[in-house]
Amino acid sequence: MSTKERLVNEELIERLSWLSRIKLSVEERERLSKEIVMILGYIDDILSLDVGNEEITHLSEGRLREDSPIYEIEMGRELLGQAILEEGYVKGPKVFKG
Amino acid sequence: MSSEKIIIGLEIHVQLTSLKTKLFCNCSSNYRDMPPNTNVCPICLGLPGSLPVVNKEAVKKALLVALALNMKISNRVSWARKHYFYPDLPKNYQITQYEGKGVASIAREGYLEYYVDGNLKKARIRRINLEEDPGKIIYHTGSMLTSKYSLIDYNRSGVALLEIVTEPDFSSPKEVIAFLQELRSVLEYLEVADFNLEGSMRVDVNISIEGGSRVEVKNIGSISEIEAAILYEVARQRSLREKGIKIEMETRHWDQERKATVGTRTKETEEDYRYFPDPNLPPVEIEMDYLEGIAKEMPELPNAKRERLIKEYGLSSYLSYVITSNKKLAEYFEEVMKYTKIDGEKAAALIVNDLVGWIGQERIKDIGKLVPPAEMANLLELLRKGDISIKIAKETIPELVSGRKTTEVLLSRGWLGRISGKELDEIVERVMRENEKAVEDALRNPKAIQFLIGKVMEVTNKKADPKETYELIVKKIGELQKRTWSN
Repeated sequence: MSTKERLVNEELIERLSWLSRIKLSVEERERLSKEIVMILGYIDDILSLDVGNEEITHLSEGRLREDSPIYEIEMGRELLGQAILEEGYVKGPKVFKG
Repeated sequence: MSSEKIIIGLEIHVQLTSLKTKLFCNCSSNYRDMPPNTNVCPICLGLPGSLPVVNKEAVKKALLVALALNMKISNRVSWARKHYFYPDLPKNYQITQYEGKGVASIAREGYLEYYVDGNLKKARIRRINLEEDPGKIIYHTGSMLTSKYSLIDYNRSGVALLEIVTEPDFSSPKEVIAFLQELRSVLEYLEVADFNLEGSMRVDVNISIEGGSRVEVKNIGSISEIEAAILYEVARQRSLREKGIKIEMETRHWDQERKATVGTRTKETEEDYRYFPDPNLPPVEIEMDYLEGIAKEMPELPNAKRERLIKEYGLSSYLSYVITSNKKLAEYFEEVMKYTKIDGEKAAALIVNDLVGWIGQERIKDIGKLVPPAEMANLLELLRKGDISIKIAKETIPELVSGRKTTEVLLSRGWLGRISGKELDEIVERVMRENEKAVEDALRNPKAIQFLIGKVMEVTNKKADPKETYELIVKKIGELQKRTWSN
């Protein structure tokens, strides 16, 4: 589906807001609607380019590593300095909204 | 109860527990029993600027499984990001594989054959994917329903998972369980995973009643819970249908405590996951030579071993099935048979019913250490030669399990040597003479013969063959009856 065929409306913005878990004010919704139309236009421009059948997703070949443990210095709980910890666990939101 | 067809498909997540490190970083894959959030690094925590690098061994194991499940293998390994927000997912996307533009599953379109009540069935495998395990969520109240917040341990985050997706080819919990047991055996034979470890196999079940929407039940932790979850969900869907309520397509969570499925209210659709090729992970070609090398390493799989044990040792298909369902047990059986000429079926029956009975299923992995194959073979060889009775063989087994040696047990108990023939005949005569009351009982009630057999066993220190003893007593009681009537 061409991105132009996709209707940028209140419902779509609402859905994107839910998917990204970001609450939006009325002003933000209006501003985002305009920005999303612009972004989709840009993507349409990209899609209009004729690149043949080749699907180039990467310019280089991937690599594999051996399955051997290395104990790096940069490991462990100190990496979670920004998180709220409770008995060593990271505190997060509740997952069931019943 | 209505009789519409039940349609079940499975999504099985198997941890590649045989790996030493996680899928994309060098953290240990053995996260169990570690203090929370200590087995983590910038890569598995998804910190900005970190770059994942694929574990070679994980790819190899996935290819082994693909070959064993008769699958079409991709010519390159590629990776996609699956986006969703959940506290256990540090990057807010999971690195996985996907059938889409520029990316593909490592393998697709295979099958696995399995038996249900002796009938051969075939389940199609849609695809297998390598992906990273998320962290683990703990609920401080013990239940996701009542906890006001979640607690997350990222030690598991990034451990290699193999996702195996089947076609909806099952119509009962029985089929599902038989299939999963066969799959487990295959994966054990391939030394991909140790299923004694908690959480090493997790199954999501897609259930629908013909003509209805598909409901996905997540979080089923063990094979034994699967039957309960399926039965609950089928009953729930049937009752909705009977009330004329439409069954919603949704994801439900299996609550192990309450033995019920609970709606999780996630409304994500395939599109919402925004799959796209992971820019940090360029694809890697799978060379034909490499694949051929892996195929050469393929061990004998349970089905092939099952057939061979029947042919080579004359096992019944039942005992062959039981023995081969556990790789360690099958290896043990063959090792024992190297040292004895006993009939294979007899040896298998004693190993499966008695030895495993005393050891317990969970200790089968150590069976060779608990009772060395040569010790077991020694016992079986004495039985074959008629030096001990089957009763003594059976009673010696628990002693072997507790670490004693065959000859030591038999000598200390005075069990070596079997009493039969004329010698046994004389003992039976004597026992019957000394227990007139019991003989009278036996004349009226054949069940009372058991008492006399017990007496003979006592007198012979269990060295009498129970079957021969039984036959002798029955014969003698029969003769007595004839005499009584003719008088």
